[in-house]
Amino acid sequence: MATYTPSGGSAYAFSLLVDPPTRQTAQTVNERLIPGSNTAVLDVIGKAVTKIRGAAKFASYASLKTFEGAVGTNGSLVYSEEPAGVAVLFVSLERTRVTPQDIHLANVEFWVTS
Amino acid sequence: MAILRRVSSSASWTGGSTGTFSNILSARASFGFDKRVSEASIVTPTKLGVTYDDVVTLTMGVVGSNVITRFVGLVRDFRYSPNPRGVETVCRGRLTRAVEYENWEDPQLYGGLFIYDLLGTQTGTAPAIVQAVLTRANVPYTAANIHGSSTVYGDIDDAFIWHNGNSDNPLIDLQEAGETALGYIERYDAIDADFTPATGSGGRYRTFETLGGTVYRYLVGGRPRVAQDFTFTETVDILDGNFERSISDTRNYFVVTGYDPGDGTGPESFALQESNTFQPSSSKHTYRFSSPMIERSTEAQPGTGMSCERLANVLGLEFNREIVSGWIETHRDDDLGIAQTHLVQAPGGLPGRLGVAEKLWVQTLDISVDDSGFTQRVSYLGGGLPDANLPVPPTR
Repeated sequence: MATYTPSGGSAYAFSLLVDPPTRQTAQTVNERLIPGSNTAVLDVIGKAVTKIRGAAKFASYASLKTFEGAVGTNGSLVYSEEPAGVAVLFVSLERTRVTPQDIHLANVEFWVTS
Repeated sequence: MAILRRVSSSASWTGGSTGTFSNILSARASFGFDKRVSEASIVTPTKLGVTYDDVVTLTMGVVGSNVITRFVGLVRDFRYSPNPRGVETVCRGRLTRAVEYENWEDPQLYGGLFIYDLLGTQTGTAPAIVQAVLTRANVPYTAANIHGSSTVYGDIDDAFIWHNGNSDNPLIDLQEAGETALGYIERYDAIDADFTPATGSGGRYRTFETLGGTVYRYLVGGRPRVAQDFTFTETVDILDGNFERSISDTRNYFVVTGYDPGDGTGPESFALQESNTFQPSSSKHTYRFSSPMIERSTEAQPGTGMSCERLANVLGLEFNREIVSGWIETHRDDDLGIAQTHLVQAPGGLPGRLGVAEKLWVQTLDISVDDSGFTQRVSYLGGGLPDANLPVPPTR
């Protein structure tokens, strides 16, 4: 079970199907080649933010629409390895499947902002 | 093999307030003889507390290598972009005050300032005059950095008026309205030259700023120096480049005209016939130059002032040669600067894919730190035999 609480709002509950979800942090490096040589110049530019991606389950269509409305907001994400919550930007939600029992599956992405 | 580096850019300002640029997305500094004053831009996500005329110091380089000041100048513009959101703070070197300052004085009701009004004497050398002009424009400088020939100008005083264009004298035409301090200085830079016949060495003086923000007036030769300041080699430290060798603008006949006294004898003048491999002395490929501030025809002519003969010889250095121009891009973070001489070559000192293996004179320099890393792009001009007698140009 997980919750996402938009800043200044109340907690929305959902389930992260793969818990903990994937986390990605990338060091941005620019690679330039010197023509005619075997040497590459690798300039360390900066570090990208940590991105949390996972598959979410929503208990109803209404719940899904509530989360769609929260896309683009800042808030706090609580799940198993972050029980105290982590500050995030809710970046995207993409529904991938609906079951006859009105269960909605979606890919979600959060960017850690703290 | 990989050269792994961590790039750095930082900037601060002083003036109306003091602060540091936070979250610099990209930074760039540009210098060149074709852009009059140096320029820098710093892109940040939002507008900071910096404001117009604050003094900005920009530092760029590779950590552990050469993180040094690459620009010092004044804030002039802010450019806003919505997506991705960014604010570009545009700065120009302090010499920009000379671009912005227009003469308004006309104490003798003759259409502007005479050399006498600037120096207290009817005549003067170019360094003395340029210093007086920089002082009026509030451009900081050190007197020892303002070089020039020993030629004394102003015997024919009305040729040297710094025009104001709003004289109260009804007999004076409103001429050259809005002549700026730098415009007036550039009139001297165009004619103030040294030439040594015995060595065939010489050049004209140029007023410019270094990366450290210091204003110099310096002898910049018609050709690169014999001793290079840096060497760049294909397959080693040249990321990209492009060069052109050409005789399209090569000239072998130089006609210089000067002040015309209006007595029917015509202006002071001198014509110099030279030759080169492609243009024999029996042919004429003419370069013309004219300035009323040239007061003599020949060096042997009595009196003071620049001569048409000396300038013709200096123009010969600049245009009587195969003209080589182009640019390279390098990852090196050395302390490069305009007016330096670089040796650009392929391994073994031979011409490579770029077709050059010779000394080249730095005309423009662009230094940047962005999401591509740290890069310096250098534009060159060269050709002809290097000059063994030119002074080492300043960098800081």
